[in-house]
This record gives sequence, C-alpha cells and structure tokens, in this order.
Amino acid sequence: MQIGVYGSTDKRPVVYALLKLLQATGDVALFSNNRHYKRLLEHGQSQGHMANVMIAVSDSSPDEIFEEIGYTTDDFEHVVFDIQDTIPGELSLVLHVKGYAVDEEEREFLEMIGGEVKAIKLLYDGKSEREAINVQPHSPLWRTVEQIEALRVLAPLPSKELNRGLAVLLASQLGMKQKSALTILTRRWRR
Amino acid sequence: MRIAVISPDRKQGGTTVSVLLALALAQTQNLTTCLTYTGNDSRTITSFLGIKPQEDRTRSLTQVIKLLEANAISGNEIVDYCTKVPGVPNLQIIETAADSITDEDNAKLLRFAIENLSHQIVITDVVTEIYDEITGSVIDNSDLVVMVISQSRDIAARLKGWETAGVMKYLNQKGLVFVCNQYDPYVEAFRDTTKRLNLRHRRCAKISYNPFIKRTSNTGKLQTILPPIMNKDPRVIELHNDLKECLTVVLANLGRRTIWPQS
Repeated sequence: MQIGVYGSTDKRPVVYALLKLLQATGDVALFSNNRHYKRLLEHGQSQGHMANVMIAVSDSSPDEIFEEIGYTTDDFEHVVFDIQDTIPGELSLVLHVKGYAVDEEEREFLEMIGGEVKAIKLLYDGKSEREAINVQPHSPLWRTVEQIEALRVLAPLPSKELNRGLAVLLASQLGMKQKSALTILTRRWRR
Repeated sequence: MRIAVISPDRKQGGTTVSVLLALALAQTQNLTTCLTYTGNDSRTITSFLGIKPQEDRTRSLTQVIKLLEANAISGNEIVDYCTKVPGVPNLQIIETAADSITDEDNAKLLRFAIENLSHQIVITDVVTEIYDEITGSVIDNSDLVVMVISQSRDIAARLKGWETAGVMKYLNQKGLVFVCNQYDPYVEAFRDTTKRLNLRHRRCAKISYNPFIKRTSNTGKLQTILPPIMNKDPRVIELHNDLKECLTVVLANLGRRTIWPQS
C-alpha cells in the first residue's frame, strides 16, 4: 500500500499509528520532509531504520528519495508519504489530517490530488466533522508521541477514535479483521 | 526438489525453520513434502510435531536396513516408511534415527531415502557438522541450501570462518539462501543485519521472534501454528509476511513462483 498523509498541522500521531499497524504486516518505509522524524533515527541521521521501518527525511521528490536510498517501491510492502508539496503516483489511500480551519493553499492542494480523501480531524477547535475520524488531541496523545521519539519504540497511541478509525479504514485493505487491526494498534511493547 | 537446511552454529533454530518451511510448502503451495534429518541422536523434529516412535516391528529401521543390505527394497517402496504428520495433509516425515542402529546405518538409510523419496519437496534438517560425510552427501544431493542464521555477532565470525575455509563458495555453488531466525526489529533492522553479515538482501528472509513458536513446539504441536498465521491472528501476524517472504525466496531460487493464498 502507498499512503499519502497530507495537511499542514502536526501529523505525527496519525503517522505513528499508521506505522504501528503497517509494520506488523510487512516491510514499511516512511518518506517525509519533516525534520522531526530524524529524531527516530540514530545520531541525527536522515536515512535509517527505527525497528524495521525505513525512514528517509529529505526535501527530494518521492522518486528521487527512492533513488537516494537505493530501493524501489517493490522493496516495501507499504510506503507512507508525509510530503507536503508533492503527490506520489499511485497512492492507494490519501489521508488529510486537519487541525484548525484549512487554509486556501491546503485546500487547493487537496483538490489537485483529487479522488477520495479520508479526513482525520484533530479537534483543537472542538468541532467534530461528519465522515471524519475525530481525534481529541489530549496530552496523553502527545506524551506518547514524545515517548515514541525518545525511546524509539512504537507504543500504542492512546486514542480510541484514532485506533478504531484506522482499523476500520485499513483492515480490509490489509486482509485482516477489524478486531485484529485494532489489537495490533493497541498492543503494548512487550519486551 | 531437495532442500538442505543448515546453520553455521548450533541452536540457531534450524529444525524450527525446517518444520515451518515444510508446513508452509505443504499447506499453502499444495506440494507433497517430506521432512528428513541427519544424525542418529536427534529427535527434535519429531518431538516438535508430536510424532511418537513407531511400534510396528515390520516398519522398524533395523528391518529397513536389513532390506537395504539385501537389496530387497526398491526406491519407490521407501514412501511406505514415511509417517504422516498429524493434522497436515501433504506433509510426511521419514524417521532415520533409532538407538538400535549405528551411525553408519543411519547415514546409509538417510542417503537412500533422500535419493528415492518421490515427494515434490524433500527438506533435510542438517544437524550434523558441516565437515561430516553425511552433511556433504545431503548438500551434494540438494537443489538448494537454506542457511539459518541469527542476529548474534557470533554468526558473523562463523560465516567469516566458513568463507576462509571455502565452505561458502561450495554452498553458493549449490544455491544458497538465508533465513534469519528469531529476528527482532529492535535488535537491528533486517537490512542492517544482512548488510553487516555481507549477504545479498534479496537472498535473505526472516522469521520474527514469536513466543508461540516455542510454545507450540514445546507441546509437540508446531503444526498448529500455521492456521493462525494464515488467518493473520494478531498474536502471530508478523509471521504471516515472514513465511510469505521465506517461501518466495526459497521457491524463486528453485525456479518456482509462490502463489500466496489471499486472506
């Protein structure tokens, strides 16, 4: 699966939950121009692995990133793109992570992507949206994000809505039951 | 097609990988598969699968050896001495070890079995040392060698030793693929493991560490792990993709395509 995650708000809780689910079902890569993900890698590297997830932080286009790392799409079961200004070809799913009101530029970009875009709304403004996965951006959520980055361990995100929403959204595409997807999303690091 | 499963060091999980490969080949690819093993004192493979020693005297190994020596057994009759693995259609095992037979007889019987078994896949778990005669004979008769390794640093040293001794060259000529057993992503990413060990990543697959492997093998029910793996049970979900990768690497090197059942 190739998943594009868009939106100008901080999308890390969504991306980490995605990685947690996807890494259980195959080789995963995360490509982003967000420097924050470098924290997941050793010694501030721009390319490397956290557990078995390949992470590349670069301003290059998706094709150029593949060239840089020396792999192709086929080398990965799943690729997550968190790149703001480029649209990789053949995305199987587009997620739009919303914070406060969406600005004009973001809206135009989403129109360019076209097709079906699944919205995930982080309820900073307290206004939930129909058809979106509405997530409370409470402090335990961000504490877990910090924990994931500091300990470099994919801990479960403490958001029922996010986990349930992603389980419903991805289970069939991953060929598993929703319950199984939810179990993976919520299971703790057992070592 | 004959596959030899070897490991550069003891206790790497060669038997576990042999059984998992055999189970997956028999169940997902519908290939008639037979498991064999070298050595006269190892019963691990049968204990993993809950197979009890045969009581039938007419099928005793001493009897088979006598028939072999008298040239009174033909190649296609060896199938009659195979035991079905309980609960797994397509998978059989041939026991070639017993207290009542010598190591020489054991080797003779194993050689005869490997040469004559008519199964589509014959997997031999090589527990004897690499320089033993029977190991050489099994490898010579194989179409592919699967080397079971782990993420331990000792393995790198062993592989280096084998490289110097020319063993790797010999194995590579036969066709060599690697399976990293008890793989843990938090020890090291798989790409980093293969890079560190100087192996071609495309010839490598992994079996993630999972407590259910040990649990089922300890109770003699290792075969019961396959249905949950195929059903993507969250407890063993990583093994779903791992097994698929293992089969793809193994079968591709045997010139076959893997048809993986869709869940």
